[in-house]
Amino acid sequence: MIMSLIKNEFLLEIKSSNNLFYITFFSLSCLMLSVFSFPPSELNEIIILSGFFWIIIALASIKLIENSFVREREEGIYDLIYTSSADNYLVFLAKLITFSLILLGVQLLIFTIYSLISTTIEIDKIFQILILCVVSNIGLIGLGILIYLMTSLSSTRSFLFPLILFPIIVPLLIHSSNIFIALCLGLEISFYTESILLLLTFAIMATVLGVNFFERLIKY
Amino acid sequence: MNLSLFIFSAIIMTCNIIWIIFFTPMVPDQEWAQKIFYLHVPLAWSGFLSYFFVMFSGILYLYSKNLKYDRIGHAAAEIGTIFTGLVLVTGPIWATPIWGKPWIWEPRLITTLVLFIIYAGYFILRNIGIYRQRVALISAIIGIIAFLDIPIIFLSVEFWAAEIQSHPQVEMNKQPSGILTPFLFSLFAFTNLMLAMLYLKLKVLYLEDKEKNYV
Repeated sequence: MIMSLIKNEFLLEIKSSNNLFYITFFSLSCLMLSVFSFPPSELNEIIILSGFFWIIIALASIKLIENSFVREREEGIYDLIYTSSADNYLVFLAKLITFSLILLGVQLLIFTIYSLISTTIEIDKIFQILILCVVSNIGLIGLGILIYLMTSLSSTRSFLFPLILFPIIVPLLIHSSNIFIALCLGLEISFYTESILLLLTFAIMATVLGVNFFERLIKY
Repeated sequence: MNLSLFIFSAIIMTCNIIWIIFFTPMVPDQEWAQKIFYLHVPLAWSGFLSYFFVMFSGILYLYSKNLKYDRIGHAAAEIGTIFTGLVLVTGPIWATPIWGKPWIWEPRLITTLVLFIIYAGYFILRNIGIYRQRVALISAIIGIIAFLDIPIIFLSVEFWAAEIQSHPQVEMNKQPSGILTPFLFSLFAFTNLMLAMLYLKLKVLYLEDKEKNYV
């Protein structure tokens, strides 16, 4: 069932949302703007690029979630989700996995660009970075979906959604950035155990809350 | 009951303030600025304790769907935010003479500010004009997620490199009794104040819900 739902999300993605294209373009624009406004020197390159990376991902995930729920909101099909034959938590998991994969595609692209423009970041670190991104994305997207649904009934949701989400994901972004730097510099990862545990906590908590309360948030 | 609770808290707090101002020893390198410590740390403790109540009542609400727990969470969140706001005010008052500037972008300050902003968002969400059960559900979930920031504040000293830490790490068991005893009394006074405020606010929220026929 969940595979069908994920396939369905991707189909809708290709047919109507085009999120991957929009978000990739949006991320590249953010990257250009960031590097233009604050060109990193060789000394602080890794710190600045890591910061840019996670800021761009935070902005992109907000646009991604907003854009992905346009269909549900404008066509009023929250009720359809609630009354569908699939378990609602599976719908949540399908959305979580789909959006995480789309975001992973964006991260892959940005990291490839980084390896071209940076002297410190090398492409051979990509598998470790992608594992980090998968864990971060689950927390980021899971919380994002929940908070989007919380704010979806408000007329000021486009303002409220990032306002509520950003402070909550700050610890996640900071610790993702810490690990990103450590991986790029080839530092001993055991020094970052707390950061890894924190990312896992966010991922598990977002998934548990989503699985348990997605249905109630849709229903009310 | 309400009046006696108020009077008791007022007496304890007055004694606490008098003790701090007139009877605590002056620390040579900080002098008057150090006395903020007797307010700042208990305020932070009481604020975090309030947020623990928010998280705990959030879990109980999600389990039972009883609006009583939402009222506890709401009241505790308000009090916690007031106390955290005061932490963010008293911190710069101490920092200005000691660090030479009121604010430094260092981990513990940033994470405390983040916590304050999360709860500012919590109150915005409570007031966006949706119906009662949805407000309670949303508040419970946000209360649980937001509580994650509190261990991060405590552990921020461990998480970040030592060179970007500016916060003094006070080990209370090494303090002389001239400092430790009034500090513990202050901790008691602020915890008592927080519980009294929680009790009174709960009564107000109960009456509000009763007026709107939610009880």
